[in-house]
Amino acid sequence: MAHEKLKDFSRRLEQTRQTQQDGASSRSEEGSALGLATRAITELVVGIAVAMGIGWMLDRWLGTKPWLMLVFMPFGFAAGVFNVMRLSKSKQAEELMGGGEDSKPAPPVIDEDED
Amino acid sequence: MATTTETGSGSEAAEGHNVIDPIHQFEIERIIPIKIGDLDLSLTNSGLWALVAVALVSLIMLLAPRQLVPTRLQSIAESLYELVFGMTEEVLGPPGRAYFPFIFTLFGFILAANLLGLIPGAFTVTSHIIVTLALALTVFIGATIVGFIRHGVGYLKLFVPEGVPKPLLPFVVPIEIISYFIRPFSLSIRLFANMMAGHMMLKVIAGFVIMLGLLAGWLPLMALVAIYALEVLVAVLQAYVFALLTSLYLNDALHVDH
Repeated sequence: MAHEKLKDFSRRLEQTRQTQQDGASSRSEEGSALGLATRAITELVVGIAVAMGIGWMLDRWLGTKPWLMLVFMPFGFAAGVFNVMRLSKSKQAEELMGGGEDSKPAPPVIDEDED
Repeated sequence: MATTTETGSGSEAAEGHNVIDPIHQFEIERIIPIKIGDLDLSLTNSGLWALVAVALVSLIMLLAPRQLVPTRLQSIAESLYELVFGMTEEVLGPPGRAYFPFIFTLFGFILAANLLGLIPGAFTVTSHIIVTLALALTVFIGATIVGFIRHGVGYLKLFVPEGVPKPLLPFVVPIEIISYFIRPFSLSIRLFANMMAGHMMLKVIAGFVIMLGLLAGWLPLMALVAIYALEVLVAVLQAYVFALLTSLYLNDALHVDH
């Protein structure tokens, strides 16, 4: 008796889940898109800021005022771009861009650009 | 509006009555002053809300009944658990199970702190960079230690990516090293900036509602409701992103050859 009741319940639960699936998935997709966007932005900005900070501290320590900071800045920018590139190849990004394989053969091209 | 500042000077507080001050909400106030020597260990509003966040997560996880057909509370607890467990399982695989308690604790604390901050009048613990930086440095130092324990000096291979031509190494290695040290900062700044910017925006727009009054105040009020909804999303999302990145960094520490 109790077993029957549970089976019925799980069937109804499955049905409800199915009907709610569509709305929920698009909303969670929007959420993860927002997550990826904030990750990419901070990666770029913080990259430059941290590299310049390291350079500035080394400058103060070695007394080479602006030079090390200027040397470190492009490296920080490059590190930020590296991280964003890595982010674009990550599982989350590929899922978001739809399948990854058939629709987006772009990532390898980026690799060639870098060389 | 309660603008009672014990810390600010009297004249400032008097002036600040009608002026909308979006920064005021981030002020640290001592609730119970405790001083040991030169150390200021006072219980502040930040500390209080951090304790409330810990209590909230602990209560939800401990009080949730374990029934076959879940109650509402049990559903909350289970879906939080499943969300983080699924994520760590996907990123770290079975060897990552040892780190799941840490990641879930981080997620729970940040989520509770973010959401509690959305209660009007509450203090947002995660809107201070010192809090998020402390959390991020814990993750960063922990992951680095795990990496060195697992691989010894071999962990340094992380800075020398495979398939890079030799002449490029002098450029790639410093970039990789910098991008490694960026991690705790991007992790903490992302969370702190999201929370602080959101709360400031809410305060500024709420100020417009009061300034425009009954005549046109409903317009910013509608925007305020929409932004508040967005902030709920951001609060959950940023907690999730923090947990996700923690497991990604731990993944680097577990599998260097990658």
